[in-house]
Amino acid sequence: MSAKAVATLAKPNMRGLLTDQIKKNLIISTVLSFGAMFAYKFLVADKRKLAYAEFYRTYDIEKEYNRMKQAGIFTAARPA
Amino acid sequence: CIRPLILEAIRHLQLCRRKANVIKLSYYLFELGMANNLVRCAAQQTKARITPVISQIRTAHDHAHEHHAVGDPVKIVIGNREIVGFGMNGQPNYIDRVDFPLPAIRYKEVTPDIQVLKEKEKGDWSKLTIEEKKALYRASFCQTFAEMKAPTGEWKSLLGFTLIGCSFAMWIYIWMKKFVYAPLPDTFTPEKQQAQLERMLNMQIGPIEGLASKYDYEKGRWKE
Repeated sequence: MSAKAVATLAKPNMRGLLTDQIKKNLIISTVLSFGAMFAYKFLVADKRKLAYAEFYRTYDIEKEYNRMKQAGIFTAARPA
Repeated sequence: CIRPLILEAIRHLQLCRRKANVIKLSYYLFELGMANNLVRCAAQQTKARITPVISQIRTAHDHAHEHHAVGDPVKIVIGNREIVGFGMNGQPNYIDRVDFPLPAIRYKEVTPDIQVLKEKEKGDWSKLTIEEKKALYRASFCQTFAEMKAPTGEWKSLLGFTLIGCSFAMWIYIWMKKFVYAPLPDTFTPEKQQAQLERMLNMQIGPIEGLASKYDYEKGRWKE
């Protein structure tokens, strides 16, 4: 082989290819899973909890009941 | 008195270093009943060229057994090409596959100039030129790995046909809506839909994250 004419490439990695692939995939999947978990916690779960707390802080159930009754949606409690 | 003749034939072939032919020949010889007749042919053939040995043995065998009227079916299919391995399933076929790189037969038939290269191949490989190495590769294989793996652009026609199918399905839906489906019920008129929306707001449906959470009840209109 005329090795003097062209530069030789570095020998590629011949062994442990599946192990390396699995390790890399495990790391990527762990990072992505944790990322998805935290994203859901902050953007969905905590936001929803805040919304519920905010709503019930100033919720007057009697007022809402009277409003609905006046609007006429109940069949057993007709407006006066 | 048969056995030494068979061994002599095998030793002759072994001297020419054609292992595949030796295996085939010996297997063939031990397999047959008419060993005597055949061994005489084999002993004569060892003086001849190596490549046609198998076909000549087989034709000799065909003459010996009159009920074999056809020639060797493998030879008819693959011609003069050499069988070099088991392949994917034992059949003597050729295919270029990345996950199965060694087919059962060589790609090209043996021609005199290829035969010259093969003789040279038995010596020192560093004496072969690049062109000779390429010719030897092309004699055994149809495509290189780069050619096998080259993109074909098939995805464009696949995508095109898929989209054509989707648009045809949409035309069919339009036809169904016009000619097949019954008219919508009267609850779909704008006035009735408006009334339904008012009722939902009165009931305060979705008060925290849904519909009513976007309505301002003090001002009586939608929240900014």
